Parts: sequence; C-alpha cells; structure tokens
Amino acid sequence: MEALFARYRNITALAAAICAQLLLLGYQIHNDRDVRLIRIWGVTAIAPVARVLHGTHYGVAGFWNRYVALYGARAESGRLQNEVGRLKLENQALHSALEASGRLQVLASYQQATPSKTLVASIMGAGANPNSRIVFLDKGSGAGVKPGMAVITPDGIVGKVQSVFPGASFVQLISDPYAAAGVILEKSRDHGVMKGTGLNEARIDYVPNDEKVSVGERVYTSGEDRVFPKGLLAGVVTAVKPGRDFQEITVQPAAYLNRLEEVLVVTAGVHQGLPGDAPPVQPPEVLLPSPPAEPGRDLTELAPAQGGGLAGGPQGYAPVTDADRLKKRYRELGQAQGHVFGEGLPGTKPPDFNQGWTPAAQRGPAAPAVTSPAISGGTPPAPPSR
Amino acid sequence: MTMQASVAPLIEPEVLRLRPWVAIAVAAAALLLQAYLPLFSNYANVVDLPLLVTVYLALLRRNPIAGLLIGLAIGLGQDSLSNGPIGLYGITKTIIGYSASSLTSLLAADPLAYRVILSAGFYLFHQGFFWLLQRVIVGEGGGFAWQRTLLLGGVNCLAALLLYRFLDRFRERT
Repeated sequence: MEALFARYRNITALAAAICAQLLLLGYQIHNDRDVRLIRIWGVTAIAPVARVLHGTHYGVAGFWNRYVALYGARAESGRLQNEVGRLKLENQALHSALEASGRLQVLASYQQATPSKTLVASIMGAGANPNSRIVFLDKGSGAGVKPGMAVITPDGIVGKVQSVFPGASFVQLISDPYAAAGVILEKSRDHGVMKGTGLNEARIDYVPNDEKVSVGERVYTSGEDRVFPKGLLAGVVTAVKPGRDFQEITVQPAAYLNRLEEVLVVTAGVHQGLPGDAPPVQPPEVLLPSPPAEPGRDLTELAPAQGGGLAGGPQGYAPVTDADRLKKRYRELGQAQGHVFGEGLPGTKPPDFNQGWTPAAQRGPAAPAVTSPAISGGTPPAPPSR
Repeated sequence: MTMQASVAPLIEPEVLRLRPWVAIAVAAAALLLQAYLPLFSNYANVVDLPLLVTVYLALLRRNPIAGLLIGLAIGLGQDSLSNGPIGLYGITKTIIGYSASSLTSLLAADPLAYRVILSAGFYLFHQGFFWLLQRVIVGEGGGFAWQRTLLLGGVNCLAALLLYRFLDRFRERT
C-alpha cells in the first residue's frame, strides 16, 4: 500500500488538488457565495506592492511630465507666443476684412436703392488742422468727383466735396464751422440752415420762435442748397430753446462722422420726398355721362353737319361743353360774315369774333357775360345786322 | 575511476534554479502586472504572465509536486484578483504546473527554445481547458475563438522568449 501510494504520489496529489478546487468551485456556484477569505489573502498580498507600484508610476510620470518633458519648454513657449501673436494679427485682419465687406454691402444696397447716382469712396485720412473738419477721400477728379458734390452715407449726410485732386479729394464735414446745408424739419416742415459747430454736433438757424420744434425730431435736407438732394437724413434734434429772433436748435448729425470709413459721393443728385409726404393723388379718370338736354332745345341742331375743326365736327357730335358752344358761335359768326374756316392765306382778314359782344359795363350789372349764355347753354346775342 | 568520472555528468546534469524568494517575487510580480497593466492598455492582458511564470518555474523545479503547488498558488492568486469564482485558474494552472514539471523527466526542457515552444502549447491548453471549465462548471462563456487563441498563442510565445531570457539571468547553481 505504501509502495502503491509512493508510486502514484504525484498523480494523487494532483487529483487531490483538483478535487479540492472543484469542491471549492461547487460550493461557490451551488451556494452562490464567494470564498472571500482567499480573495482577501490575494488582495492583501498584492495591494501593498500595487500601491508602491502605483505611487512609483505616478512619481516617475510626474517627474517626467514636470521636468524631463518640459525640456525645451521655454523655447516652445516663445515659439507659441510668436504663433499667438501672428494669429492675433491675422484674426484682426480677417475681422477688419469682414467688417469692411459688411459695410460695403450696406453701401452697395443703399447705392442701388437711392435714386441719385453715387460713387463709393474710402476715407484715407483727416485734415491736419484740428479745428477743421475735413477728411480725405481716395477718389478724385479721375473718378469724376467735382467740388460741391454731396457726400453721404446710408446713415445720413456727411459733407460736401471741397477740393478735388486727381487721385483724392477733400470733404468738408457737415460739422465743420463753415459748413452749411439747407434742411427741413420733419414735423413742422420749417426750413432752416444746418451749420456745423466744430464739434460733433450742428445747429439749425433761421427757424422762427413760434414754430414748434421737438427734441428727437428728424431733420432732412431740403435741396435748397443745390448740394444735397432733398430728402436725405441730416440729423436729429437734440436740444431746442428760444433765441432772440430764431430758435437755437442743436442737432446731432445722423452720420457717424468720427467713424467714417466708406462714403458715397453723389455725382448726380435726385430729390426725394420726405417721410410722411403723401404722393400726389391722381383722381381716377371717369367718363361722366352726358348732361341731360336742356328743355326746349334739341342737341341735334348743335351737331355740325361737316367734319372737325371750326368748319365742322365728327358726325353725330353733340356740343355739350363750353368749348363746343364757343366753336358753334365762331362758326355762326364766320357764316354770317361769309368767312369759310380753313381757307385764306395767313395775313388775310379774319372774321370779327366780337360782333354782337357787349362790354359788361354797358350791359349793366345784370347783363350776363358773353360766354355766360354759351356756358349756360343760352342763346347767344344776335349779331348786329350789317 | 575512469568509468565513474565519465558517467556522473550523464546521470545528474547541473541544474540552475531561482532562489525561493526570487521565485516568489517573480510570481507576485506576474500577478501584479496582470492586474495593473490593463489599466493603461487593453492589449496588456493578451499576454498571460502568470501562466508563463508558472511554466517557467515548474520547468525549473523538475518536481511534479512542486510544479503542482506552484500552479495552484499562482492560479488561486489570479483567481483572487479576478471577478470570477475561485478555482478556475487554480485548477487550470495546477494541471499545467504538474504537467510542465512532469515533462522534464521525459525530455530535456532546459534549452530556451523548448521552453518557449512548451509555453505556447501550454497557453493553448490553458485557454481551452479554462473555456471548458467555464462552460461545464460555471455555465458561462460563448464559443471558443480558435483563431484568436492561436494568434495569442504566438504572441505569448514571443513574450515567453523575452521573459525567460530575462529570468534566466537570476538562475543560480543549487
């Protein structure tokens, strides 16, 4: 027995180990319970080492990331700063291009909408004199710009072209102390002269004290200055107070004169209506029915027997208007004097159309005018016999 | 005298073994890495380090009982760090440890190439037997992935080559 066991010792041990583990598995599966003790042993044995390994790993990784990997970080930082600076400049350039594109689109839309012929120009600079309000345009005589042309934006009027050069022109802003424009107030329709003050505002002169002007009222060009076409927004009233002879009205120019970039030069101005101006109403053309015939008078007798003109009219034509009756009278006068209308050379004696006409002073107050009977349809006075 | 001198090396060749504490450290490190490395990469668990270490230690011990105990300890340790029932890896690695130690009495398993090839074979056996245990005893697991198992067998073969060459540096005469 002992020899047998010694002979099969190894395989017996294997069988025992497997059977023990199978029992362990069967116990776990049958009871649905875990062998917690073995797991605790395993985890307890491994956990400290794992903790050390974990700490070592993070220590090494931290050292690497904070020190070793940062080798050359200063050079990298400098390179990135340069890159950021370059990108900022590029971003600003793109923003500027985008804004310019938007402004040009607005200008183009306004250019198409306004009836005046305009020319797009860019502001190149401002005048050297701090007291003057002048800007330079990049368009000059070569582009068709002439002195006295109005300069506007979709927001409102800007000024007028003062001097023109081949490739540039000076524009006197409406805020310049020597600039002026004929304007009209939106509500009261009073006319005045808008003048610059040298600041970012303007004033309106020559509006009587008795006219009612309110703050916030819009001011439009009147077209009387022969520079700005009528109907362009000039500004908004910001302050009103009575003056000695005329009101002292302060106006904020509608255009942003300190932020001008692109403007329109009006090469051929067309007046426009002001907001609130009702378009002229054309009464519909209605053909009224012929008036009823006068009692005791047959219209057919008035109908000429011949053609048109004083010699006659269209067939079936009934003289119902004053002109018809006057024509009938002239025809009768011509027949009475033996005159045939349409004949005779120029210079020949015409018939006397005043035959039978009596001045009003001789007719007396009750005497009707010559045309009155004709207009009223009455019988004209008989021509005197020759 | 002449005869005794010529026969002695044939009967008892020189055996190089790991010191016990080194063997325990290697087994613990294999279990630790098997549980820790997958935190960083999903591909880390394609190599069954506890299995390779079991085969390596069992082949070195050349004792079936010792190989059995090595496989049992490493298998149960792997079970304790997994979320499955305890015993699946234990049984599988117990058989592998026992078989690896037993093979040393039949063939010369000391050359590195033999050991590497044996590791690949034991890997395939391990995967198949583990799958069988899961299906039969636990009632889990789907179909057996032959292609993947063969592919990973090659990968473990390469891993065994590197690992065994590294561990051979710690072998000493006993």
